[in-house]
Amino acid sequence: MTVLVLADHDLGTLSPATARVVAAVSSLGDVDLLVLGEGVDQIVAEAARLSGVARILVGQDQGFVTQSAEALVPVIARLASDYSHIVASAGAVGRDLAPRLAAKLDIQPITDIIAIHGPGRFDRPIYAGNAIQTVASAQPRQILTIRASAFSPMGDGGNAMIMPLPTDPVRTVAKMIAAHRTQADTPDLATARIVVGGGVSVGSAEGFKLVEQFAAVIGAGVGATRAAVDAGYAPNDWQVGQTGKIIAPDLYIAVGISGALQHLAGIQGAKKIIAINSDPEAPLVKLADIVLIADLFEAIPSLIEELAQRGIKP
Amino acid sequence: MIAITSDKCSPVYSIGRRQRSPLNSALRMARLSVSREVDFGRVTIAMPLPAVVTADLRLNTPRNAALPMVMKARQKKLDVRRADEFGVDLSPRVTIEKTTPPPARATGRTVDNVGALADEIAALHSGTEAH
Ligand SMILES: Cc1cc2nc3c(=O)[nH]c(=O)nc-3n(C[C@H](O)[C@H](O)[C@H](O)COP(=O)(O)OP(=O)(O)OC[C@H]3O[C@@H](n4cnc5c(N)ncnc54)[C@H](O)[C@@H]3O)c2cc1C
Repeated sequence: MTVLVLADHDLGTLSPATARVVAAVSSLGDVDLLVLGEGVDQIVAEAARLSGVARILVGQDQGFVTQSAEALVPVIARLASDYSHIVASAGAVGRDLAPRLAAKLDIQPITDIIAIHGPGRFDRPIYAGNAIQTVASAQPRQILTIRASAFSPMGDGGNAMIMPLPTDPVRTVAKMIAAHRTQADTPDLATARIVVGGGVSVGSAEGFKLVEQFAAVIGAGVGATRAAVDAGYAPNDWQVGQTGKIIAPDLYIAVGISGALQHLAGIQGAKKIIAINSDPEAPLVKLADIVLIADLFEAIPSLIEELAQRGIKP
Repeated sequence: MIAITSDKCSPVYSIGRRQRSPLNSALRMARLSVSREVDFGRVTIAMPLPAVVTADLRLNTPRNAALPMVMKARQKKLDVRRADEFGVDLSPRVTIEKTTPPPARATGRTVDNVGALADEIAALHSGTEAH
């Protein structure tokens, strides 16, 4: 069995999710990695080092730059017959293209996989993470998206063969006319080891800065609740939860977050959870491993000071 | 099924609902311009109609149908057909073996003050550095 994995990349580098997806599926067979983009030399070099990757298929075209399903799916569909599994990370790109590819190939896709039991048996969360479903598929080939944060990354040590793919010029009817990128030099939320999340209780964008400062002191990624995003205190791509990002850090520190089910859906993979909240009855307080009942406006500044005294480096 | 019925009815646009990819739309002549959330922020995409789009909660506030329209809708004839009339096989290709609750979390404890929490974070922080 051979597995085709679509490489996730952004700004000319391989996304950390790719090494996790490769690790997740390497038990299924040889892995070929498909890199579609333009100016992808560095991505290909990084990908070739991943252990467990047999070949890197490289398609270059200006039309791949937006990573739209419309541009990527025809290439993947053409390669499909050589593979038992066609796999992408369950990020924005994978979520976008899996349904289109599935319709083209007439295959029921299996999405957001958190465990692989065999070539056709997988675990995936349902009901916003409140239950785990084990599903079985006997289809001739599988289309899968993988929740990268549920798997450890594959290490380096590989030496994959690099094969250019002939591609026709890509034409799409949907055109990207603008992209707005959130500017922040915080660690990538999806793969950060520590994440500090802020809720709407910070009261303002200024107040949210307190959460960001705290995160900076310990070198953490920054997350937010939907309520904080809707209030305009934090950018939308920081939202954690059912309709935001799913994270699985070693440590999640929730500052003034109630712990609505839709938020919890995004943090269930966190190894340890700390809650700082003024309400001892908040659901997140009940769920957390370590709790501090306090007013965040008092607790966070003194916590930053105390951590500095302990010589913590980001 | 959607593909077949769309063919038969030639809709101007079909709107479904998906929770993950928020999208705002503005119909401009025969083109559609949408804004959607992606992993790094937001993008604006334009396309000709017809198009299939999904909408997020944030798109707008729902407009409730007025009672006269509800009554009118009730009068409409419903055309109910069987899927196999269209030659479509809807039998599931993926079977659900079991559904289980996620693993339970250990019970937590409360610390008394900021200093104690700083100790805990310092310990966990050096732990996460180690691997
Ligand atoms: C379909 C759907 C999808 C959704 N998706 C998501 C999602 O992906 N992510 C998400 O986060 N939400 C999502 N939500 C929204 C979710 O239901 C909650 O409304 C939201 O998570 C609440 O955010 P919050 O904790 O910031 O605010 P609140 O629920 O208002 O909680 C504020 C908390 O702050 C505490 N607090 C107040 N003042 C202080 C203080 N001074 N010091 C310390 N603590 C204080 C309060 O005790 C309370 O616990 C979704 C909702 C729906 C319907």
